[in-house]
Amino acid sequence: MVKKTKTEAKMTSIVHDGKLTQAEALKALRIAAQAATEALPAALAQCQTDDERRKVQADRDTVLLAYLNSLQKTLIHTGALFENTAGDLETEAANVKDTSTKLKNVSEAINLFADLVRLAGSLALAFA
Amino acid sequence: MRFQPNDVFDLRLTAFSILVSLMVSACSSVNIDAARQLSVTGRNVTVGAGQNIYASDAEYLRARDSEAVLHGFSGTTNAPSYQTILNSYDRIHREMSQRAVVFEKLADVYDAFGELSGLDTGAQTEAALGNLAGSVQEYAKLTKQSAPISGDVTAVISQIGGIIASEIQKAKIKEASIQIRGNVDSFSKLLENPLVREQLVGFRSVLISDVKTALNKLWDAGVYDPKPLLDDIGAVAGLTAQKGVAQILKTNTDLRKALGEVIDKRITIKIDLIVQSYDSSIEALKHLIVAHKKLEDGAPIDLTRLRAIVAQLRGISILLTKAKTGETTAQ
Repeated sequence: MVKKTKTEAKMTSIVHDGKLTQAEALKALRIAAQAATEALPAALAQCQTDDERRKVQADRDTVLLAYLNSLQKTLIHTGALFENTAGDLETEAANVKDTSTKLKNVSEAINLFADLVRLAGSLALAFA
Repeated sequence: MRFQPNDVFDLRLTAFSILVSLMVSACSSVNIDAARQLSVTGRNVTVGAGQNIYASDAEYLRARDSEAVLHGFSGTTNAPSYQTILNSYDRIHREMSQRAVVFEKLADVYDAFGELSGLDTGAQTEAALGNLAGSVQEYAKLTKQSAPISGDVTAVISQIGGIIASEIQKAKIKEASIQIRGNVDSFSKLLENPLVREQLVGFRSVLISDVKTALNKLWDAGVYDPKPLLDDIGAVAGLTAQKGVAQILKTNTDLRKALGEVIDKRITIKIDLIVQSYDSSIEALKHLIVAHKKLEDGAPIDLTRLRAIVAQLRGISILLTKAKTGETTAQ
């Protein structure tokens, strides 16, 4: 019983030591995919038959797809963060635009008032 | 000497203008011109970073072509894995491109900030108040009444009004800067997230690995004319390759391998540039945060470093799209 527990614990520490982050795991898969791709020409050059070439290509594709599938899964986790940031920035742009519009309106309102006073003067003259 | 109502009014106005001047000198910490410059630089940083963080359509399409080349060479274009890879590239590129909208939104924020900083509210309000005072005077003349306030007094009112409008604008600029700084800070932290960094940098690196491998395969197959590459290498010494150099390469294996190594390294350096440009983009965002804080505190802003990073990002972007010499942008 003690032996079995020791073996289980050892396997747990190899597989799940709690230190591998998602980023590190993704990076490891990515490096493997790049290595498999860049080794492809040399590996294909060693092949004698079409079957061998297909096997080498399939092995490489498997490694690449493992990375791409993991990447797509992680994109789901971080997608909302970007959406929230975009939303915040859109609101901020609207707020700042609104502020500058209001400031512009002040001097325009004063000028409009000045025009109205001139108009009043012209009309008063008509009735003088 | 009797004290006239206008004398009291003039005294009050003088006291008021002194008070306003004192208040204004205590509040005028934000430099509107610096804010205007920061809005332009902020926009340039945003555009530069946006071009350097996400895979361009050209990078993604070249990778797709490269997959076609590799599967064509191995006779596996009918393999399900080939189509699955292409579909995955399409989905991932689409997802990443949607995230690029964040940079567009940040550019919009800086455009709006530029609009706010570009207003000349002080001068415009002073002119408008002067215009109003003038029209009131004209009305009084036309209706044969005495003007409610003298010309000197209206000039003071206009000036005070202009100063107040300018101070209001500065306060609004400061408010906007604080908000923008917060947004840029959040965004730079998002990009610094190790998972986000690996997603963006990693995917671009994989696309380039595809291109590099396909190019090496095509080079080994002898389909490329080596003359432009040799001319580029020889340009520093004023040398150009002979017209029939492709023939020389067909029989000179060592030379072909040597040039193959040059091609390999030139493409590999693009992966280094991707990492460099990502880090430079984050550095630029951090500099923007510092510049905003200085603007809010009324401290002088030096945008030299930020402008240098923008130029660097532009340079990297050009290097990533062209296959010129293997010079880096490291400074």
